[in-house]
Amino acid sequence: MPTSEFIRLNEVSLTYGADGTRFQALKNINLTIGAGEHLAIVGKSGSGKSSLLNMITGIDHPSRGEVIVGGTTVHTLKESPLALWRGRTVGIVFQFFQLIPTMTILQNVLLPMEFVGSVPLGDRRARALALLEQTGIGAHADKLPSELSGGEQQRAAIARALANDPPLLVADEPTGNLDSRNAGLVLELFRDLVKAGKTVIVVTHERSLSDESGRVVTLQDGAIVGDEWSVR
Amino acid sequence: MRYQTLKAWMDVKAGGAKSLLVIFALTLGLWGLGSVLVSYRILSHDLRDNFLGTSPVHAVVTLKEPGQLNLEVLRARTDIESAECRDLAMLRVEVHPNEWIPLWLFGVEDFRHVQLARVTSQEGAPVPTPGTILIERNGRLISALDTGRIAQVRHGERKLEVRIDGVVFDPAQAPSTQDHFIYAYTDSQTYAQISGEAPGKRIIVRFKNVHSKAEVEQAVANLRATWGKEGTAVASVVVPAFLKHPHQWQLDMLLAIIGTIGLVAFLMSSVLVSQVVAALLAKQVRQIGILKAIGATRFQVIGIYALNLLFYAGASGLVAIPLAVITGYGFSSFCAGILNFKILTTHLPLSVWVLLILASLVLPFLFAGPTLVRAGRISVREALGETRLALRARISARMTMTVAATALGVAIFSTGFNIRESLFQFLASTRGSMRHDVQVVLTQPMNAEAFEKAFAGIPNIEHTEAWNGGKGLLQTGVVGTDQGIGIVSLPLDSKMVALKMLEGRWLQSPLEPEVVLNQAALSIFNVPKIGQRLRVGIGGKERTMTLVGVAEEIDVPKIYLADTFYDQWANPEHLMNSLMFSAQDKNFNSVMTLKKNIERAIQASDLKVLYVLSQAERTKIIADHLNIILAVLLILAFLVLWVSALGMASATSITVMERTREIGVLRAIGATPERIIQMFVAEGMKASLTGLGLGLILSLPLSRVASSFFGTLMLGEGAVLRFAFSFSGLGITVITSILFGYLANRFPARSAVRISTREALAYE
Repeated sequence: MPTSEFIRLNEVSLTYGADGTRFQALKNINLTIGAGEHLAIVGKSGSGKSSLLNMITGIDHPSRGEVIVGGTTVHTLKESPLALWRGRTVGIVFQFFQLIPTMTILQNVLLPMEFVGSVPLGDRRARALALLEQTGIGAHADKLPSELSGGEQQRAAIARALANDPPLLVADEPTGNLDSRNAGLVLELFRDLVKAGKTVIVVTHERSLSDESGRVVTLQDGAIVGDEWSVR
Repeated sequence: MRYQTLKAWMDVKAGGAKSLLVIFALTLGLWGLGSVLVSYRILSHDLRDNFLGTSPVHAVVTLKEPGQLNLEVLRARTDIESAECRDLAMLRVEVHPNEWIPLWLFGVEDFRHVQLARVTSQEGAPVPTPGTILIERNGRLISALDTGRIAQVRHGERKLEVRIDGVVFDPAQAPSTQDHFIYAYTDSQTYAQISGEAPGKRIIVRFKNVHSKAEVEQAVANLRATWGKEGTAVASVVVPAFLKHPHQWQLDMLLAIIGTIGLVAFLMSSVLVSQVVAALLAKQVRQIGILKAIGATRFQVIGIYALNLLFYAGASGLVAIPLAVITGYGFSSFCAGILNFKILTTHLPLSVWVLLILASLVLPFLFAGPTLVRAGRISVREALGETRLALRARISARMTMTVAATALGVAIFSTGFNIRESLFQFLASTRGSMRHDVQVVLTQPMNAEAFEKAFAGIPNIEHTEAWNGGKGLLQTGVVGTDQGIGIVSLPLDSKMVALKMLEGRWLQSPLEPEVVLNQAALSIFNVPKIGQRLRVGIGGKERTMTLVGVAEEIDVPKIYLADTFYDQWANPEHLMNSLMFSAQDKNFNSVMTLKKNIERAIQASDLKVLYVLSQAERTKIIADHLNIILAVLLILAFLVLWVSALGMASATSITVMERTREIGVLRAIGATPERIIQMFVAEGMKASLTGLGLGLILSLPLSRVASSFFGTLMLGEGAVLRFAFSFSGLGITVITSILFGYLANRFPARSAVRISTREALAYE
């Protein structure tokens, strides 16, 4: 169970387009997420799941309302401080892995450490290798992403997301492109991370993934229509 | 920075053909700019250094009687740097069987101690043995004259055979290839033997502490005042342009053209580079999103791609700088060959190398900087959520730029042809402005009847007319009076002249002294207005006359004056120095036969002829002066069109690359490879044809502006080079542009069908 409030969204709305073609992606969202929670955001395609995730990661700004993560008012940050904040605070895992194709797996994990600079220079390589070991792909450290299977690439992406030891991990359809065995391995990793005290938010429409979560927030037409807790 | 640098480097490596395209585009721009820089540095210094290396004269004094001046006394003056006797006789020499052209024979006071107007030995004897001459090297290109050969020389009735003892280089003279003169040098005694004139009449002078023509003129005035008191009679003093090579204008013109078109080619290649870099960054948009999502700031993202660009810049610099140096030297050597000077710059100064390296490193950022900054600014959401709409917008923006670049290329190419046509029409007008077909010019004026009698009985002569002029030098490159302007004295009812009037009218009044200026003379009189009274020194006195017109003529500064007034002021014996012949049959061969018959008549006479020239040859001499400029103009204009075609090719290849997945879909639903190629070619050709149409429209105002610009530059202040439309140029422009457009679209489109349908569909 969460120990304290980590993320708070107050009256968050997001509107795209101009008059006539206006589209409201999020409507008056109020959501509080505690530190160490494992939350699943579910809903049909176009329900606003990814938009909500973008609010939390600072990838997008609300048209109205406020987003506070770890005490930081995210939506007021300027671009460069926001990038640094994101690098320190949030690890992002994408559906299509989004590894840098020209760099090895190890280099992919080292790159965010270089951007943020929070891990001492001398410790970076050891930390990156440890993360790759932790995600079960230590043997592939010097391979290019294209030489790995989808599941291995996704685990590399999780290792990269953890490079700066962020307290929050967000994943957008992380198993959408994986077979059941690899999906299972990813779920196991998330479970371990929650156990280690990380807050994990997963956008999914896969039942297995939402079942793993301690809390499931359901979105429909940009509004929260369900917020269920489960005791495991 | 290690992994950011690594990413930048890996992107360059992974870029493959696209990286090569960026390097190619950058190389092209740098190569063009570098060549202009290198050739500008060499040409702007070397013609001047060649000329100054001869220790050029400040003034040429011709005495009425030879030997009147004590040169030692003159040299001892505090205002004189050096002074020498350098006689000049205008003879004729046979350059090919029955082909005679003017020979300027210089009598050198002491070959071993030449301090002024120096020449350099090229081959044979450095000092001619008595009885022989040395010739200027450029003369060999228009004659069979060479070391060891015997030159047939005529001076009036005098016919001599003179051995050529060697070849010298004299960069202070206008090139023989352009002015169709031969320059020769000999000692004073041999000069006297060949010319029949006593040496010691013509003195060349350099003053101390003079920095302009005005200061030289003042120094000359001081000298003349002294000579006036001493009783030294001076026939004339000519002050040439101050330390300026006679053909500096041609070089200035070339530098202006290469500068202008180099700049345009540079701008076009900047479009090409920014397009290619934009396409490369477009491929990286998603990665930019990822980098930002994992913590990279805008500046870190820009830093990675700036490093990327720096790798491209380094690679292109390594290729472009040596190429620029080679072509810069090549172009300079070409110009040096045409203008008869030597390339003295053996090593480029450090500043040029620094400039080239800086250009190679900085220019890519100038070209692609805005694109780079735009890429850095893109938000994570935009980067990761790029839509087909964004792709369409990008393709559309690229096509707009490509159309603009093509239009500019076409406009410049077409303008090149239009300027050429303007010049040709100008030449045709020049040809038509003088109605005589052959002209005989004497070295000294003589009685008109005796002059005409020498040619009696020659067939195909319709009409003859005798003219006179200041110093007997008419329509040559050396016309000069004390005031430095040539005077043409001709009958009011002359049938031999039909100059096009730019302003005012031709001479009419038998009662009032009137004058017509050619356009080159305008600036000498500070661009006077019609009706203004001009003062000209004629016959030792200042005469006042009314300006009634300005005539179009490509020649040295000249004034036209009715012979009645000229004779009254300076020619009481009514002597003539120029005889004009108009032919009944104006066919080129018939005119050349007439010229040969006139030459035969001269050989049989004792006439002291300076030269015999047909109008066709005169036009050729003018055309020779302009041809190099036209050739360079068209070559550079073609280069611009070529660069715009490269821009089109790169735009199409980028579009093909970006639409790979669409190509996969098309193939999956049955489109044949040829059909897909046709689709891309058709789309590209739309842009090419739009660019062609816009370019042709743009070429009209551009041609007007450029004609005016080049007209002033080539023909002088007040000259008008009228706009002319070149239909042949239009044809060449249209055909070349369509061909370039087709090839520029066809080749990249072919690459679209090289990958399999499966690969195309899987393309990200």
